[in-house]
Amino acid sequence: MNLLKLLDERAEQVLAVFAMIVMVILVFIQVIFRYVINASLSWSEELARYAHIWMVWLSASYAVRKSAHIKVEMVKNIFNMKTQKVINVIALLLWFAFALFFAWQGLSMVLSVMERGQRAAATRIPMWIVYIALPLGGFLMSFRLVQRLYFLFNSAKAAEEVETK
Amino acid sequence: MTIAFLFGSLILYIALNIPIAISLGLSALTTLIFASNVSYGMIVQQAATSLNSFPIMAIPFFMLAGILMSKAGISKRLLNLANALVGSFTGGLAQATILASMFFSAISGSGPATVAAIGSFMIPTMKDNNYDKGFAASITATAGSIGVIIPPSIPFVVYGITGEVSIGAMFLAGIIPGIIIGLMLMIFSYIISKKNNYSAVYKRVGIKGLIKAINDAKWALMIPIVVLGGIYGGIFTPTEAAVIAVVYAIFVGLFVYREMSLKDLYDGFAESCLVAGTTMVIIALAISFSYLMTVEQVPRTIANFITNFSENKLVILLLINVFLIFVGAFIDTISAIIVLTPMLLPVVTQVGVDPVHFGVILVANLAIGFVTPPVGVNLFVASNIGLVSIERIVRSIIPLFIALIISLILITYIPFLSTFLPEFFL
Amino acid sequence: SNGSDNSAANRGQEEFELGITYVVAETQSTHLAAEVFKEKVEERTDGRVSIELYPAGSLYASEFDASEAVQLGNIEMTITATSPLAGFIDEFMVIDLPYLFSDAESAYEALDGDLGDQLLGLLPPLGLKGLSFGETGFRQITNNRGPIESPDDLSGLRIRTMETPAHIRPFQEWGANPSPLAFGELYTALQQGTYDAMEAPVSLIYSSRLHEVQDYLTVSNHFYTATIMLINDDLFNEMPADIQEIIQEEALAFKDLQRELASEQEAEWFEAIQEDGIQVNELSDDQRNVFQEIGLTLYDEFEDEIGRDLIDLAIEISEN
Ligand code: NA
Ligand code: NA
Repeated sequence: MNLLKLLDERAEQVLAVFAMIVMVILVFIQVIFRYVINASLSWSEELARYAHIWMVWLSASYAVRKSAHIKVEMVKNIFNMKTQKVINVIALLLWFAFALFFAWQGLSMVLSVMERGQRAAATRIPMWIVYIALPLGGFLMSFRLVQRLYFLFNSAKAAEEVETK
Repeated sequence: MTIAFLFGSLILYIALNIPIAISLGLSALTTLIFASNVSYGMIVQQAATSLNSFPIMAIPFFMLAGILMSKAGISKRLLNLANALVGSFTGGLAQATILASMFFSAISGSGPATVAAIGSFMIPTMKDNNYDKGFAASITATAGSIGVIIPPSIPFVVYGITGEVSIGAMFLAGIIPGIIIGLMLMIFSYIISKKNNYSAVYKRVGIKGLIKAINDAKWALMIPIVVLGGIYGGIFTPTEAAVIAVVYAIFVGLFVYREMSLKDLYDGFAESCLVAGTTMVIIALAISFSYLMTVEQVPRTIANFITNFSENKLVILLLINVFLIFVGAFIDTISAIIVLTPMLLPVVTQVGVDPVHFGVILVANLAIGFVTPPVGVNLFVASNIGLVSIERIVRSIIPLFIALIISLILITYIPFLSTFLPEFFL
Repeated sequence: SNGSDNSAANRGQEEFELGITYVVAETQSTHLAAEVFKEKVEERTDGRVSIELYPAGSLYASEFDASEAVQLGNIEMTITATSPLAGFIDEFMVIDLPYLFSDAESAYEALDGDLGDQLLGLLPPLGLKGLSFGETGFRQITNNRGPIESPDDLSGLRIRTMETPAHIRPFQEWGANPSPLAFGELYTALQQGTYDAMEAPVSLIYSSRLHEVQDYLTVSNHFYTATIMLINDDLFNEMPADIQEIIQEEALAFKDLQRELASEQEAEWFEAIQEDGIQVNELSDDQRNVFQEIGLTLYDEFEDEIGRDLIDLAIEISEN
């Protein structure tokens, strides 16, 4: 139970933070190598860019959990509470459809790149390792959206949500 | 037809309260399904490759740096310094809010982050000292716009990448216009304060007190020197400079001020993932939207439309400013830059506007958009942290909005203000 | 782009809309020749094929991304340097080996002959079809320290190279400090001294005005950069034979015209950058041999990835 709660609250967060730390360290040692050791690294930049892709798509899902995505509330707020709830459900369903589409197309890109054995220029890492961040992000996001939909119809959970915000 | 699908569905999705990033992706998808033969895979491929860029990584790094600087106690000392400098004037708290926002702008690349850092302390303080709360929140929101004009600046990074203009040159170009906006806001808030009898709260600190405040803030004041000096001294690229700022903030927080715990550090990283993640997702999906516009030749059509209307540089700039103020009211800065730069840059360069100067005009307009309803991020942040309703803020913002417009006119029609520093240093 | 299916049905003919994306600007030989390609193909197919050009990276700013997009079917065609293809197929690195071709003629002979055929044959399993090889040409070194006459003069220079091992490794062996950098940041990096040096063909130096921020240019001809016109393989196979034939023929005509324009432009722009004040030195045969000797030792290092046969074939053609 506690493990589940921990996973719910921290799963994407910990991974995204890890990716961000990797980005900072790689770029920092790139500068250090250039000036202190007087040798340029040819792979640090490439690896940092790949960590960046991971950081962003993990955070995209983390941001669903934290209701942090930037939205425009203005129009919705014109309506009464009942209509607002309907709008929320429609919005979540459309978003969910997009997340699934993203996971599906992302997966097909990963498979295509994997089959063709594409590799990165400097580090020679297989590119599917980089691109799998996208279907993973889409999949995690769709899971989080189902969770939000559940919160929407479970007022106790919803109240808890507001408190933690 | 394709254009109608693209823009029509975007407006619908945004109105439905779907996040801006997802709305951009969904409208691209809608267009692919109903009105275009570009393949579906384009959206996902663009979502990966747009992030696979070293220059664009300056954005998450500058966001991380800004967040860590607050946690390290750096913004607090900048506030103290601002109060020591101008706190004893008429409307001293408002003046200090503007000055502190300008200081903080020099270490943060984001408008809303500047509002949050300065406003969370200054709005309550102003309210406690009988300032109108609408005015307190609106001065913080408008001053926060300077965050994206004085370097570093996230919108300048996005413009530099989209328009293939040097990010370093853009940063230099923003310095004088940022100071002008700050001074203009100070003049207007002086007049308002005089009218409302907002007297000074702080006593004059004298030269000794000032030296102490400067000394306390010295680690903060070093940051622009390290970051900008490093970029222009040829030591590192803008992205690397942002990482140096991150490492610097960690160092100051852990070892100099010792106000940041390891847990604060982790929280700072987590918070920045959230802020950077949501921003970068907008970029990743705005690219698909912009891709479809290019395929449908929208930039070319718009360019022809404008140049058919007039070929006079001053008229074109006026038209573009009016258009941008309108756009800024509705669209967030980042997606606006990605979508508009390819449309407008060819038009203005054709009539002889410098791309660096145009970048400043574009970003200044969109920065005004931060405080114009319905979509004004700075308004939302100021409203949240100051517990003041948006309506109340909007009512008191009008004179300050005029100050921003006057600054914008100066920036637009005196190119020298933007181009002098880049031409001098580069 | 919509509604084409209807008109195709009316005339009972298949229609094809081809987008061609490339990163080079509209002033360059590649764009000028692509315009002729577009015109000729549209005319000869009686409008059954229509072509839209997307120059200057307006759709894909990176050549690697553009090639990947053609492979995934997100765009129909691209014209790209062959170097990024090494990310898909190791063998393509052969073209980038230092001092592989002694002059343009031998590069043309190799790429239009056996070497080119073998390389093109590797593309279809990856979903790509290569139609013809153009060129960006031989690459030269520019820097801000002094004329480059020997590897010693490169010592410790921070030089921007393309992101391929075939380019990075030779500069390491020559004593420089090579490091890839996004092309968009290059001008400022050179101006501010974050980087001291770069290497590129004259056309790119001129069109990006990089000579304004560099003092010395060394005619080193150390690498040759070929370009390739790529089309999505599945799409090409779907086309009727007569259209395939027209596209293939016009792609070969594109290649001839582009190379001709490229060499004219190169001569003209080489003059122009000298007039703008960049100081030029040309490697003598002896000086060149020093660089070449070191470069050749790397061929063995890349043998595993490229294959000895292909390297030998390239050398053989170049020596004849
Ligand atoms: Na700033
Ligand atoms: Na706005």
